[in-house]
Amino acid sequence: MTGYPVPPYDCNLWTITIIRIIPADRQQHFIWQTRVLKVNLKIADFFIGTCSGGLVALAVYQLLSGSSNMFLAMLLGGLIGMVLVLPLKFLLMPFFGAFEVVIPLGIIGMGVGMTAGMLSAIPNISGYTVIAWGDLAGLMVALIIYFSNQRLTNE
Amino acid sequence: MSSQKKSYDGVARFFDCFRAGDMRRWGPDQRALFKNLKGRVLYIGIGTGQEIVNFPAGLNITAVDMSYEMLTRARPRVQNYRGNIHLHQMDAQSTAFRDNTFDTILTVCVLCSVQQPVVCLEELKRVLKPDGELVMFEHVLSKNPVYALILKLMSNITEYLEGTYLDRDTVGNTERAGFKIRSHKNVYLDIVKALIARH
Repeated sequence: MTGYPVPPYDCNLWTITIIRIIPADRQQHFIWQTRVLKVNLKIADFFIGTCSGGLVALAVYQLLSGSSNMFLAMLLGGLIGMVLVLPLKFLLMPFFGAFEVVIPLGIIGMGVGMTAGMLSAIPNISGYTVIAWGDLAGLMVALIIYFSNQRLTNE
Repeated sequence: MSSQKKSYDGVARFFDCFRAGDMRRWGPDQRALFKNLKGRVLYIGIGTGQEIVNFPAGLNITAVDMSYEMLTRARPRVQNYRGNIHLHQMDAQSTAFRDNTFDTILTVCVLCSVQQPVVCLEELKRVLKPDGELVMFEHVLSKNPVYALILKLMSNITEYLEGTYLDRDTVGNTERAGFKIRSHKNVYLDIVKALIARH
């Protein structure tokens, strides 16, 4: 058990990485840097919502643009969104927390995927419009969850 | 139990990485909840000991986990703690402690993982003193149907990957085991909760 370093302040992934790769005499400097650069997680939630919404919309548009059946495009869009956010969830969880990632991305994957699928089936619609919708919807989901969380945690 | 133990042994090396984001989010809430730890404390499911950093100093803790690998990784954090923590490899559903042994029992994301949560809680009730407290930091199934649907879908994957269920009714299970919830605080939505229960 000797030689296994112990996180001195907190247990975030960056700190764990630092203490595993940086020599002990230089760790303090890097840990202070970490504390200064610590990302505000609340801002990160909105950023994740917006970006993942845009990403889902982009993927759905690329795969379904030109589709003639809006209903089928909606179903396929929802499916594509749900599949796409799955690896994204596992990628983001270690940095931003499990439930704080799983819940918004679950809603965004299904909701944005379905609506972006429907939009993609509209003839001559621009990809930028679909992506802008995805960004907006992702931000809206993050906002709704933020206010829902405020209400539930202050009860 | 054996397959679950193997599963946790396997996941132990990635456990700190998986939970790093949660620890950043939950630190302040855990520190507030852990102020309720007093007397002789039983810590169920210590894992790699990530929560130790949030414990108040000077506690006398008996910590158990069914996974040897988890306990091995917890040891440096245990040594770093300014208090006493004794580690034991044990199943939470059938501990080796006598009746009415502990003043406080702590669980952190354990009742989502044990095979039979009510059986586990009944066992905890047995080893908890009559005036003792069960302190829980657990995630449960949301009452919001949208959040609940997402948790149920995701639970199929987490159950397969690391044996964690996201759709447990831990508050209900606690009451079914004969505890009374004394304090109930939502930490994230109505999913992550800080709970204190008594006999």
